[in-house]
Amino acid sequence: MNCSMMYKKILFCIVGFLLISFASLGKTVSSLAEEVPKGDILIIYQDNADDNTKAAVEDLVKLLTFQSFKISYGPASWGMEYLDGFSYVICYDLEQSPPGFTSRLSRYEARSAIDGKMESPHILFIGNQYFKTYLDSTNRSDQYELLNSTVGQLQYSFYGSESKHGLVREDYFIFLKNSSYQNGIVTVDHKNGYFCAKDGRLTHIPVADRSSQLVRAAMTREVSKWKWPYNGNPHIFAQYILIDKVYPYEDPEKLLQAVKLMIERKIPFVISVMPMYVNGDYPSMTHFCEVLRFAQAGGGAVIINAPIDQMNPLDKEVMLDYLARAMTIYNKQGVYPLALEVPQNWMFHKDTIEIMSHFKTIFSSDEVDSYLSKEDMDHNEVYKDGHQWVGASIPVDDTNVSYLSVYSTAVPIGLDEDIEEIQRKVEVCQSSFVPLKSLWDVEHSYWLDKQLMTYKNGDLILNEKKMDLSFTPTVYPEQYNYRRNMLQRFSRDLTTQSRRLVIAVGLTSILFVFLIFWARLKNRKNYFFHD
Amino acid sequence: MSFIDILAIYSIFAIWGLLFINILLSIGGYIYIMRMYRTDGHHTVLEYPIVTVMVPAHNESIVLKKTMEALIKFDYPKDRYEIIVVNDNSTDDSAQVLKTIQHNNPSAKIIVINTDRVVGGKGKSNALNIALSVASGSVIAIYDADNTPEKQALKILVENLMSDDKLGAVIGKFRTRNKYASLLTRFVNIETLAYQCMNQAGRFFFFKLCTIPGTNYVIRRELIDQMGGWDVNALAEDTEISFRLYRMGYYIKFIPQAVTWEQEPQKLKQWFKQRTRWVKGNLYVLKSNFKYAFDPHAGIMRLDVIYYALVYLLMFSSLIFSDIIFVIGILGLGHVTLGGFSSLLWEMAILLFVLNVAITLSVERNEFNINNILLTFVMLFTYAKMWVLVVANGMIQGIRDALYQKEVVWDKTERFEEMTEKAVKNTKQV
Repeated sequence: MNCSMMYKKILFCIVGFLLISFASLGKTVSSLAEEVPKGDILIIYQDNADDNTKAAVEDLVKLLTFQSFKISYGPASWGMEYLDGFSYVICYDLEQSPPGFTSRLSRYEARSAIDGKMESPHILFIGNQYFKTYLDSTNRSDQYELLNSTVGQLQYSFYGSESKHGLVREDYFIFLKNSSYQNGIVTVDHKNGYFCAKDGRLTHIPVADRSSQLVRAAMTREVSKWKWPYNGNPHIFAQYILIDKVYPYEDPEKLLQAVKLMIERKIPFVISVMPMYVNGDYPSMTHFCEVLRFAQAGGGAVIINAPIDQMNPLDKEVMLDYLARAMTIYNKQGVYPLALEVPQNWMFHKDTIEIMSHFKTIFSSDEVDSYLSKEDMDHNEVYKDGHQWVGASIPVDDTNVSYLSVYSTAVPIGLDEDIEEIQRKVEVCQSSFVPLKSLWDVEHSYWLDKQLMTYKNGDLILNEKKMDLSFTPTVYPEQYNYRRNMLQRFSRDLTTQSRRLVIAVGLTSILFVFLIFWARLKNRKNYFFHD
Repeated sequence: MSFIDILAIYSIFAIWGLLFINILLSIGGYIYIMRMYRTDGHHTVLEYPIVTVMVPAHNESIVLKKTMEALIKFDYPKDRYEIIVVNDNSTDDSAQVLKTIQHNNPSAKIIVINTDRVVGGKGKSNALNIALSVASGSVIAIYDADNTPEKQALKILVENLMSDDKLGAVIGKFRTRNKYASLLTRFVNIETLAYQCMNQAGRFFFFKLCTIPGTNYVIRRELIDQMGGWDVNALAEDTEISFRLYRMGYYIKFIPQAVTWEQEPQKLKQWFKQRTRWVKGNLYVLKSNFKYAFDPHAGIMRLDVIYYALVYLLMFSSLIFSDIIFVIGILGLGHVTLGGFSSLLWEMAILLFVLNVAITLSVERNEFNINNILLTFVMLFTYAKMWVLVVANGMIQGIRDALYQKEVVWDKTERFEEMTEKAVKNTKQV
């Protein structure tokens, strides 16, 4: 009796313990699920993916962030847990899937819209291997055609413009036989397939390799259309002509020439200036800022490039301090940068995201901050700051003009280019189907240490004072006092001294060579004379 | 501007400044030597004065025989010069060697003074003062015990001294007689020609300034007497006496035709010891005479004081700094951020250094050749760096001696048995 009672007690304890454990496990799982924010798009890639795949996914995340989408991304075994939190799922270049993934995805595909809270599911497969596996596993082997060739030719037309061509490579290609939507042509073995096709809840892009700029541009556009819930094309965003990375010590006349060209043709433009931290009142800087003021008054906007990061690890306070100093110098000269230009990987690091949070408008360049360490992220955290993004245009051809209107783009122009080349690019931008826009037509703001700037309805308010944006020429003093101490004067003179030194050394060397020859001649004469 | 930039500016200005001073001196020296070589260096004198040739010798038996043979062979009138050898507390067989020489040359007036450790062994100045006390000449000639002067050297020196009453001393040129003995002696040979002969000639050409080199010179006896002999505290008694002559209103002339050949240290250890002694001696002279750099009554010698100050303070520190900058750069700890600063500055300095030495070699017979030009280039990165170490060592020792009030000790240079030039070449071939 006692024994059976004891067993019952032990059994009761075990059952109780298991119940509590399951309950707490369930709570943990659901709390984990809650940690991943419900977003617009979930991107799933291969477990143990290589760096190239991860970089391609980050590039896709970046371009979708420019379109103000909230993105979560991660490997398949991680992502399958959170499928239900999303209505749009991208399976990027999956080759194999973790156990249970296919059945999970199949259930997800079959899911109906959740009472108006969630749309019906949309799945975009980029690449071929897993798409084939998925179709085979869901008894749809007859719905695709497999072409066993590794090379295809892509033809893609942006908004009815002339088709762009390029070669694409995959292990093999599969194409859906039936589709309700198709765009672009991928020709494999003389057979025409599509670049993007939709059948029911499944959409397929057979090309996953994003190394080609044409593929990047076409894929971005198709993803954007896939995400667009209505008929027709998504909103059209403008492009900005950006005179990029202008240094104060560059030839201001070249800048003035480019500025005059834009003003004469009534073309809105943006100048991205490099930050200066000292000697903001030097004549060269004053002259440079005079040109910038002239540009501002003529419809050009100025933005500031982020200080070049040479810190490892990055110190965000130092970076913000440098930015504040640079802003103060430009503001004192009547130049008011409206936005910040940053390297493209700044949106994947917590510290740089915090630095960017001080600015409403962010221009993302094609450059990479090589000093910035990589942080593992599973969502585009920068999304929360609600920036107005201007991304670098995808250079489909040599003009760099944007063929995409799904997000705001900047078409970079370098001052090292010939004025004729600049003129050609400007003309291409003008005739482009993507409209040009002035940065002055958009609201901007930033706050730094002791600066708060807002631009709204044509009024630029800096620290509660409305700034005058009209152009007033600078009056230069006849002789500027550089306030240099003796060492600084020496240092400055070194460049000119070096040139003089080269001449002096050259002349001395010639004289020495002559003297050597003369001495040898005399010695030889004396030698024979004495003998 | 960073600290490294400040060092760079200092080094650039110091090195280039001194380089241009040396270039000017070389040009002046070149003109002077070429002009002198148009003559044979002789001057006509009515009567040759009595000359006392003084040879201080401490354990010099290896080289004494050769030296004495050369001194006896002078083409100076035999009855007008005497040779006084101070065998200064030697522990080798110098006394015996000298006795034999005296015995074999009865026609030559050779006086040998053997000192013990009570009277002698206190350095060159002390030995010269002992010789002076018994000298009968109105002109004193000094030769080191390792010298083999050419036959006409003494006559040329004395004739020139007698030709001008304002001349306190006349100095000749010295060459390296064992230049093929080692790489070190080859370097010394080039250094001697470039930075002693040419430099002396240049200074004399522009400013009538010369520094007595310690050997192969003649000086008026009366002046030595007025000075009270040689300063026994000075390790560089030659430099010290030069400054005193200038202060007395006399000048010193350089005659390149009066040549002596001397044995230079063959091994690094001996060279280092000898040069450290020179540095300590020159720093002593610089310290004692620096006050005259700002004294308008000191006359032209002020330039020499300033020149020595430039070499030992400016040159030394700038070379140290430039080396530090180089090492810091190599280690990646920092770099110069000056605008216009480039390696071209150093490359041009190297070019000028090599050309500057080349011009010196060009006026000498058998010295202007590709080997010596290459050696000059190598010298810059080896021998010149050793000079920095020598100066640093000399400075440290000088400070230590001053702090502990140590007595000045004459650290004698060790001598070597010499092979003939031909024998050296043959040995190398074997």
